[in-house]
Parts: sequence; C-alpha cells; structure tokens
Amino acid sequence: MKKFTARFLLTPAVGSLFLWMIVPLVMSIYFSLIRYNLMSPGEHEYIGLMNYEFFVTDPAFWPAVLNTFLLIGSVIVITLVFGMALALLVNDKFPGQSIVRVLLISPFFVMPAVNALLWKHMMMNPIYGVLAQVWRFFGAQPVNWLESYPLLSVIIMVSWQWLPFACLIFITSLQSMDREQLEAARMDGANYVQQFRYLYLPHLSRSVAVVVMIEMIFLLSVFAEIFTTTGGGPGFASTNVAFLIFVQGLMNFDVGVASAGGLFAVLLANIASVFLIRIIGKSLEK
Amino acid sequence: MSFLQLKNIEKFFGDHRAIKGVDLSIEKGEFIVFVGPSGCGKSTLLRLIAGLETIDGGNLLLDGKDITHAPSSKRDLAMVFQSYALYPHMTVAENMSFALKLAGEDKKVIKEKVEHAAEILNLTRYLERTPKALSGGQRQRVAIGRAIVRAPKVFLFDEPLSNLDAALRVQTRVEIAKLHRELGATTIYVTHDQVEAMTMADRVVVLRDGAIEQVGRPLELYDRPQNRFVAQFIGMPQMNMLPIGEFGSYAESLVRPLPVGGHIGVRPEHVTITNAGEGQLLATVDFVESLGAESLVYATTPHGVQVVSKQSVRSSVRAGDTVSLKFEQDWLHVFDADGQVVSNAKGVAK
Amino acid sequence: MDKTLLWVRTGAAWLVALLIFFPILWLGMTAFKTELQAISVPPKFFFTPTLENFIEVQSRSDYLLYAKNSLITSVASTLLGLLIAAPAAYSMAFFQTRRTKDLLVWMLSTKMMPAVGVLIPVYVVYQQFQLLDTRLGLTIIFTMSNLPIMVWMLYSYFKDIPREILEAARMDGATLYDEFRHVILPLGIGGLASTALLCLVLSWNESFWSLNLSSAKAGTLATLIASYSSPEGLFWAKLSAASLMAIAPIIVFGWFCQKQLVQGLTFGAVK
Repeated sequence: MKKFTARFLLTPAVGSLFLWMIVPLVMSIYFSLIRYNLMSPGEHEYIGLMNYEFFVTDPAFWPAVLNTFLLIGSVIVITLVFGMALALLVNDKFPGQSIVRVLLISPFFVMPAVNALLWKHMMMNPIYGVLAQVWRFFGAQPVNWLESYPLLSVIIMVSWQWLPFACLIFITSLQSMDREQLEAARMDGANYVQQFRYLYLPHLSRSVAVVVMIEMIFLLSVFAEIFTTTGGGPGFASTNVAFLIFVQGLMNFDVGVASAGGLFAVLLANIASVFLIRIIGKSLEK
Repeated sequence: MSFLQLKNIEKFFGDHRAIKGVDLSIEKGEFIVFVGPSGCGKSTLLRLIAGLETIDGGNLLLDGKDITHAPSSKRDLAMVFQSYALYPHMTVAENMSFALKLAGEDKKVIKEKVEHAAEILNLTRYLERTPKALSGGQRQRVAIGRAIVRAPKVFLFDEPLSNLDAALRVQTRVEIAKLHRELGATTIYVTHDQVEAMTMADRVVVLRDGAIEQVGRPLELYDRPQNRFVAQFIGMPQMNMLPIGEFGSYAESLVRPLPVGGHIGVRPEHVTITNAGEGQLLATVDFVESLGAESLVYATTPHGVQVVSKQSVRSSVRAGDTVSLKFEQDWLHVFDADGQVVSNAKGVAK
Repeated sequence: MDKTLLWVRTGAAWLVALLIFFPILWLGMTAFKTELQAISVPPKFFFTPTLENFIEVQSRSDYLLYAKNSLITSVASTLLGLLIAAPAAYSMAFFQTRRTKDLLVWMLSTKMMPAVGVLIPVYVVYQQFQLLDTRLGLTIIFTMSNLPIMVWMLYSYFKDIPREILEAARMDGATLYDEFRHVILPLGIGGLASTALLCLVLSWNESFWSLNLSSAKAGTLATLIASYSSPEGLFWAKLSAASLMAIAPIIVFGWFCQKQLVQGLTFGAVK
C-alpha cells in the first residue's frame, strides 16, 4: 500500500523525464545514421557512421571541444575565487550591507541575450564602449574585445552572470559558520591566512561542490551569449560544442550531422556527469 | 484476555534481528515501562506497537482485534515523542485538536475537550500561542495534551523527559504519574532511566538485545532479579557482583551445590564496613563519597573486585585504609555461571 | 584599528558592488538617452531623460505581446513543474528506498543533457504536434528543463521536516492527503516558494529554446531582444530600452523577494 502510493506519486516526474530523455535520444540515434539534409530532399538512406565522421573531422570540432572546456573551466575558477573573496568581504556587518547584496545579486537576473548585447555594445564596443573609454582615459589603445579576444569576451560575460550565484552560495554557507570555532582559532593565534585555510575553506567545501555542479550543468549549454555576440567567430575562436551543433543543424540544415553532434554532446555531458555524480553523491549524504 | 497482547513479535532491520520474538500481555489501565540500555530495542518495540514500523513476525492484538498490520492512523493509539513533534505552524489549541478535527468531531465538542485538557495541564493561558513561544516543559505538556484530548485506547510515551532539565524532569514525572492515576488510561512508557521506571510503573519490562529479560513490579525486580543483567541494571549504585571464589569456604554455607563459575550479588546497602576480623572479606578503601545523609565507600578486594558499601552513618574510613567487609547473609543473591539466579535473598520474604 | 578596518572593508565592498552593478546601471541610463547621447564620447552621465525609446520599442516590435508570452510561459511552467515535482519530492523524501538516491542523480543527469543535443528531435516532434511557436510548447519545454532541479530542491527542503512530526500526524489519524495538506504543505511553503521563484527566474531568462522554437507568435522577451542584435547600425538607446524592459520586471521582482530567492538560488543545497 505504502509502496504503491510512493510509486504513484513518483510516476509523473519519472515518466515525463524518461520520455524527455529517451524520445529525443532514440530519434537522434536514428537521424545520425541516415542522410538527412533539409536542403536536399530525397530518400533518407542509411549511411552508417558517416555523419559522425563528418562531425568529428569538421575543422571546427576540436577547437569547439577545447573551447567548451576552456569556457567551463575558466568561468568556474573565476566565480569560485572571486565569489569566495566577495562573500568573505560582505559577510560581516557594515553600513549598507543589504543594498550591497542586492546590487551583487542583480546580474543573475539578467537574461543571457541581454547580457550578451549589453557587453557586446555598451561595454566592449571598441569606439563607444565604456571599456574603450576607460582605456583611452588611461592613455591606452582601446581593445577590440570581440575581434581580438572572442573567447575571453564570452568568458567575461558568463562569469559576470554567474559570479553572484557563487557569491550567494558562499554567503549563505558562511552564515552557518561556527563563531566559537573562529574565536578559538583566534585565541590560538591563527592569522587570516591560517583561518581561511583551516576553518573557512573546509566549511565551504560543500558549497564549492554545489557551485561546480550547478555551473557545469548550466555552462555546458552556453549558447545565447555566443549566438548574439561573436557568432562563434572569428573563425572558430569562440565556437563551443553547443554552438557548433547549432551551426550544423540550423544553419547548414544537416539534420544527420547535427544529430551525430548532439549525441556527441550527450556523451560529453555524461563524461562530465561521472565526475559530478561523485560530488553530488557526497553532498547528498551529509 | 488481556487488553493489549504481543505474541512473538519480531522485527528485522536488514539481516539484523532487532526484536527477537517478544511476548507480553498488558492489562487495561496498567502503566507499563519499557526500560533497558540504549540499543536494546525498547523504542523499536514501542514503534512497532504504534505502527510506525512494520511488524515482521508475530501478532499484535488490541482489545480483541488483530492490529498487526493496521496503519498507525487506524490503531487508536496516541504517542508522545521524545522531540515532542508538535506541529510548528499550529497554535497549542490547533495542535491538540488536530486529531479530533481529522476524525470529523463536532467543533463544540472539540473545543470543550481541548479546554478541559488544557485545564488539567495548566495550559489554558497558552492555547493561542505557537510551540515556538513555549518553554520546553510547556511543549512537553502540549504533547501530552495532544494525546489526552483523543482519549485513545493506549498512551505511548517515547522517552518524553529526556529533553528536560533535571528539576523539570522530576516534576513532570510526578505529573505524568498523577495524570495516569486520574485518567486510568493504559500506558506504555519507554525510558532508559531506571528511576523513572521504578517510580512510575505498575510493571517494568526490562529489555536487552531485543528480548525481554524480566517483567515484574518495580520492587519485585529489585528484590528478585531473575539474572545478573536485571540485578545490575536496577538499583543505584549497582548491585555488587563477586565471583563465588572470593568467599572461599564461606560460600558453601549459602548454597549447595555451589554453582561453578557463579557469582554472589549483594546490594550496597547490605554491605557494612567493620573492623578487621568481623567481616567476610578484607579490602582496601579506594575512595569515599559523602553525600550527607549517606556515604558510599568504594573498596577493592585482594583479587581486584570493587565493592561498594552504602551506609547511612557518616563513615570515618579514608582512602588507603584496610577494612573488613561484612555481607548480610539474608541479603545475598546467588547466580550461576550463565548469570541466571540460583537463589534470591531470603531477607525479602521476612 | 578595528574602526579603520571596518571603513576599509565597507569602502571595498561598496566599490566592488557598484562595479559589478555598473553594466546594469549603464543600460538603464542609456535607455533614457537619445541615440546621439548614447554613443557620445566621453560618456554622458548627466542628461535630460527621454521616454521616446520605450514608445519606439513598443510600436516597432510590440513589446507587450512578448512580455505577455514571457509571463504566461514562465508562470505556467512553474506551476506545472510544482505540480509534478512536489509529489515526487515528497515520495522520495518520506518513502526513501535504496534506489532513491540513484533516481535523484538520474533526474539531475537529464538536466545535464545539453539542449542542443536534443534540439533537432524536439524540433521535429514539435513540428509533428504543431507545438512550434506556441506558448504551450514553450511551457512544456521550460517545465521539463526545470523539473530535475525542482525535484532536487523540494527533496532537500522536505527532508528537513522532522520525521517525528509526520509520525505524530499519522498517529493522529492523518491520511496521506491530510499529511500533505496540513503538515507538509504549511511546513514546506518556504521551500516551495523558493523553488517556484527560482524556476520563474530561470524560465523568464531561458534563451535557447525560446530562440529556436518560437518567433513572432509565442516569442518571449529573449526572442525580442535577440531580434535587436542584427547588425543594422547602432541603435543603443532603443536596444537599451528594450533590454531594460525585458529584465526590469524580473530584477525588481527579484529585489522584492530577495530573501526567498536567495534561499532558492542556493538550490536548497546550502543551509
């Protein structure tokens, strides 16, 4: 009876997620094995693994894989380091603390498309952008961000968006920090570095796991920021796997190759999730 | 036939047999206390009765009805939890009336019953507060009130006093006992505190490792423990337990035939400190605890067995003194090598 | 000594906060400038604000339609998500089995499946069922992509409700429904609110699916903004006005519900 109820309550969620996972997966596998280009109608003949070959030998493939990892890795490192520093900075009471917090979390609410356009034009434009003006103010040659450092530009935008998230997680976690433990450490003569190393860091380890996990989930599919700013270029300099598949499928109209790419992305996500599941598994135990 | 009957009740957690076939009959109106060291299965047994754990073997009968597999909500039992488990979002009145409301009881009747219970428990002034705004003792009383209002067939208490401070614990203990006298409700009460067991129970059930060691009235357990475990679990300080060999030929005058590898047990109040030569055993005093009205003398025999003597006079002995221990012959319990009793003290009968 | 430290820290905190907030502030200011002021060198901090851009955006691309689509899809997907996720989380938290944790991890792993990986099949299916460019279609997609996170969050909130309270309710004669209605729901309302708020934000800001599956009819504000990215000259003021209108509702909403949202932003994982 109890078992039945428990199953019954789970069914909608499990069932819908299962469909959501399995239907596209099966279709992707099917599409990836046939010739299927929207621009060249005709029969969808079976062509084995050719689509995979196309996708993997695409000159953009390896750069895209590399960029995906660079993007995820850099953003995670940046948000972890600055997020932690910021959290420590605003943790104790000071005048205007609550306003500062509101300001800090705001970027998280900015939708990716706006984020991208805002940075592309008003911040990073080499002539009128704010950054260019700052550069000029200090007598430096303004940088053409999107042309010269396309991937870095995307990393900056995404980091700006996710920094508040990391910071908030750390702030929340710091609030449950044991005050007496800190006082004891101070009595023992621990300096700031030692306090950070032996008290704060261990306490924040679970939060670090959460930040890494959530950001990985969301950053694997960074798309709008690239789509609206660099368009993956110049060349493939800012193309990640997500954007490459988009280019194949919706711009080259090659469903077959795009599906193969999609499956590759799924594979990539699964490799990442093997690492993540270890982290999640641990953080679920508590 | 008895009111609540446990027939060979069993419970497994995985491969571990947590409750090993417990038989117990409880009469209507009885106050039963389950007592035992932590991990003995007393709380599990209570939860099996409550229906919060599923029974893996045996039968449970309440008032002639088999409730072995009935859900908790249909058993007509009320439970007071160790953490009180009050509904934090409801007022005291709502907490107490929740069960009646679910049962579809008339609003006026509910109000009367809640007010009556509140009066008994001295909670009338707090009816509109939420549990957060109450002290530990008040919360405790609300938890009891929640049970009283329902007038269930059996009250179940799961270590209800362990979250209270010492003074409040004594006071609440007295109140619960009084309440039981007034309501006459069948009660099962779980505790690890033998003082609670001794003072409140009609009958005490001593449990160890998921099995019953002995069932009996409090003084019966004190006077006639069936085995070494019960003998030492009940009573403070513990009953002294000396290997029979300690006594040499003297032991032979106590029992025949002598149980090989057995023990002689004697409660501290039946050991007196005398001058060398008058007692049965020589011992060296380790230390003396003077409690005012009485003093406890801890002494060690030459074989390294520690013996406690409780005296109602102030003792003049000091640590390091060599003394003679005198055991009152009528108050010795003899246990065999398996720990089962061979003979209880003769003094009880007198 | 302590006092100086406090002032240094206060100053530093304010400085960093303002730096981080600056892009949004600048966006807001630009939205009230004329196109010429928007690209002036050096940048103008003081100017006479104009509302022209907002009027222009509304008349040129019907802002209100997109805003309505955004509102409907995010609210509907949040409600639908709660409806599916809450019972599942309840079941997992209170009828835990050995497989519960695996199930939870599996759910999360579906979230890791990159959207692009399944874009084409979803596109094809949507085409079959005529869900392309419909609010229903977007609602379903938003719900599915938020569902794993909702289940996870609610699970961790429900798990914080002491078991004994539920047992007490059971002893009090509560059925499963009573338990949910009278105990779990009132006690879990904070968690439910946080979860709902977070999903509202995530859905509102969702860009990938709305860009690819919707356009003129069901397009959300993300679609509207993307349409301004075409390189047809620099209309920064109008772009800013449109952007501001797209993010303002959710930012202001976020400020008001800060406390609950902060809870939600931690995905229930950090207490």
